[in-house]
Amino acid sequence: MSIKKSPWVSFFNAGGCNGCTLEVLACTNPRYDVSRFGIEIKASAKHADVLVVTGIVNKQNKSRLLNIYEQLAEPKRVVAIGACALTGGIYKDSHAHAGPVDKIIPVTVFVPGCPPRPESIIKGILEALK
Amino acid sequence: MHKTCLFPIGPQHPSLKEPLFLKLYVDGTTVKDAVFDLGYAHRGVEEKLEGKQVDTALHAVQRTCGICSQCHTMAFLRTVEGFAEVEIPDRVALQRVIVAELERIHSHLLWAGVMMHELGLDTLFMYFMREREKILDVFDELTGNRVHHSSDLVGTSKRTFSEENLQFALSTLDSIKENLISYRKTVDSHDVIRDRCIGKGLITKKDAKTFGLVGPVARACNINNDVRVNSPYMGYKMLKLNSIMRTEGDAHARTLVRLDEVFESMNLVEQACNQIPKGSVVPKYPVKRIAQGYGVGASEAPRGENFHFVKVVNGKTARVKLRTPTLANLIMFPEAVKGADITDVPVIVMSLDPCISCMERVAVVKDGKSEVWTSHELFKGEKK
Ligand code: SF4
Repeated sequence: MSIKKSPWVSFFNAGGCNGCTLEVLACTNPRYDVSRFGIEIKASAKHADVLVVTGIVNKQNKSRLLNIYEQLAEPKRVVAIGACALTGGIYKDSHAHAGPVDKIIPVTVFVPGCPPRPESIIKGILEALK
Repeated sequence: MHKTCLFPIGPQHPSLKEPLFLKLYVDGTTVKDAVFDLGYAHRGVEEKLEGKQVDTALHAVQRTCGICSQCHTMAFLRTVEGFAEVEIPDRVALQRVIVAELERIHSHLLWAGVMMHELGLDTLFMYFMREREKILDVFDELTGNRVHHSSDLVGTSKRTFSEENLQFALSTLDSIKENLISYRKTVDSHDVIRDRCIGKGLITKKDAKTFGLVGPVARACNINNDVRVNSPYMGYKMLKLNSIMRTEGDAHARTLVRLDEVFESMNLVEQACNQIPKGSVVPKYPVKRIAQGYGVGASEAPRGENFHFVKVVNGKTARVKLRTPTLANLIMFPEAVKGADITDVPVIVMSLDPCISCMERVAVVKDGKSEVWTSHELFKGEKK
C-alpha cells in the first residue's frame, strides 16, 4: 500500500556542514509550514514514510545509516538532500567519505543544491510519494 | 551501592540537529558520568583546505559550518590579509561586519528556538523561527545566498550592497525588534523556563577560566573574551560595541546573554549601515594572489572565538588549522551534565550551544601503528 498524502518524515544528518540541516529545519517554520501537506517530523525511522538524508556519509556513519534504513517502514523512500549527499560535494575526495548516499542505500529523490532551498526540499519530499 | 546503567542518546535523534552520540551513565535518574562520542560529522575539513589557492580555499572554508559561514570567512581573511598585508577599504570592512552580525542574530535566534523546543515550549520555537526566517531574507537580498553567503574575496567583496539593500536590512531589523523584546520578556519571566534553567548546568568563573571557555558561555560567567572587543578587526574598529555579561553562569544566564547579544548585534548593524561610505567595491581583477606566508587570526563567531592558522607555500595553502568555539567549550560538556538529573540533560547541553559539524577532527591511524610528530614537523605540515 502506498500513501498519497501526509508523509511522516525522519531525518538523518550523515555528516554535513549544517547548511542542509538548517534548511530542512526551516521547512517546519511558519513560513514554509510543512504541516500544510500533513508532513510531520518523526523521531524514529520506524514511524516514518520518508527518510531524509543530508551530508556526506562518512565512514563512521555508514553502518548507522544502514541501520536506520532497515528500520524504515515499507515501502522505503529516501530523499537525499544537498550536494554532499548527492555526490560528496566539496568533500568528494576526503578520506572520510564513504558515500554518496545512493552507493549505500537506494535513493528515491535527489534534491541538488548547496544547500537547496526549503521549497525544493518540500517538493522533493512530496515527489517521493509518487 | 548502586550500579550505573548506560543511557545512550543519538547519533540520530530528533533534538540533535547534528549527529552526536551521547552516552550517559545514570544511577536512578542522576547522571554519574557522561561521554561524548564524536566522529559522526567528521568530513576532513582541514584536509580539504590543503593544496588550494587562497581564493579557492575560501570557498571550502565557508562550507565548514552552515551556521557561521561568514565567521569562518572573516577569520580566514583576517589571517591571510594580515600576513599578506592587504589593506581593505572601509566599505568592505563594514559590509563584512554587517553580514557577520546578521549571522550572529540568525544563529542566536535559531539557538533560542531550539532551546525553547527542548524546554517543551514549541510555540516560542515557532516564533523564534519565524523571526529568523526574516533574517535569511536579508541575507538573500544582500549576498544572494541564504546559508553560505560567499560574499567576500581577499581584499574586497564580491558585490556592493546597494542603498535599497541596506534599507531593507534596517527595516527588517526594525520589524522584528518589537517581537523579540516581548519574547525576551517571556523568557525572563516564564515560570517553566526559570524553573528548568536557573541553577542548572552551573559553571563557575574559576572553571570557565581553567578550561578556557569562549563565547557566550564564558560571558555568562562574567569573563569577557569577546574578540570583537579585545582585538577588534575589520569594521569593528569603527563601531561602538558593548559586551553582554552576566555573573550567574547557569543555563538561564546563557540564554539571556545570547538574547541580549541579538539586540547588541542589531545595534551594530544599524551603526554599520549608517557609517558605510558611498562607492562601489566591485573587485578589480586579478585579485591579489598570495604566494607565501603564514599567520594566525581570530574572529568572534556566534559561539565564541574562532581561530585560524593559515600557511601558504608557493601560492597554495599548505596547512589550515581551524579551532572552532565548540572545540574549546566541548571539554566542559561532560562536567556540566555530571550530577544533573537526566531530564535536565537536553537543556544543559543545548544551553552550551554545541555546533558539531565544524568541530570534528580525527587523527587517522592508517595501519594501527602510532606515529610521533615533533612540533617542528607539525608546524611544517609534513613528516621527514
Ligand atoms: S551540500 Fe553544502 S550546505 Fe549541504 S551539507 Fe554539503 S556543504 Fe553543507
